[in-house]
Amino acid sequence: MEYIIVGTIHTAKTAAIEDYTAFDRGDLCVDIDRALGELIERTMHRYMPRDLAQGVRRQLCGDLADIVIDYDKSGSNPSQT
Amino acid sequence: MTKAVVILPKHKVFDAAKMKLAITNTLNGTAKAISVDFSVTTQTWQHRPSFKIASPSEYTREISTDSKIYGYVSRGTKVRYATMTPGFVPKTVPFNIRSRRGRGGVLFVNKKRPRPGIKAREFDKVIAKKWQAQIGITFQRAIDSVAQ
Repeated sequence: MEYIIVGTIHTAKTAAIEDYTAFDRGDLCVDIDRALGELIERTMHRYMPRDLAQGVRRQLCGDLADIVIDYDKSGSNPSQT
Repeated sequence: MTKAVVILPKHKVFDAAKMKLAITNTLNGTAKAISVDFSVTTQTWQHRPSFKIASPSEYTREISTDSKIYGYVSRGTKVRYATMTPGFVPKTVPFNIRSRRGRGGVLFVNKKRPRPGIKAREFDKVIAKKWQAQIGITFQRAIDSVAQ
């Protein structure tokens, strides 16, 4: 049976969303990397000034989504390290 | 001499397994809510199409229908072969997530007599626009809730 795709929700890293050119009508994109980055920055800001917290976020950006996505593959929790 | 101070958070910032669960739960919940919006556009239809949610990958959800008629109504057509009854009022209007009672229906179909096509209702576009504005906030809230 042929299906008409009316909507797709994509969750991806910032870079993947920026590079992806095949988005179609009805497509939604959620930037998981950005959302995790927000959380990291906010948490770090409890311990350090905002500019340093933003620096931590910049350093981790690109890896944050991988930590969650690859969690099963690694068999460990990389966020502890 | 430069003195370096190491600042370490007292707890780990997030638990990856819990975070993964929160993301997939939010993804499933949002996909379900979006499919409800699609159902709303066909609420008054006599033959209501069903909408299916599929997971082409762990972090992607696809909402689709096997109804060709829904495709014609939502995306529009170049020509229309159906002649409608006098005073016909369509059940749906472009860029509107709703379905009203309407009036009349198909009088006859004649492929030799093409008429101006069906005006695209653009349901997928208008539903995507509505959810794109909310989805970031929804996911951020879910992700924040996992923080230790």
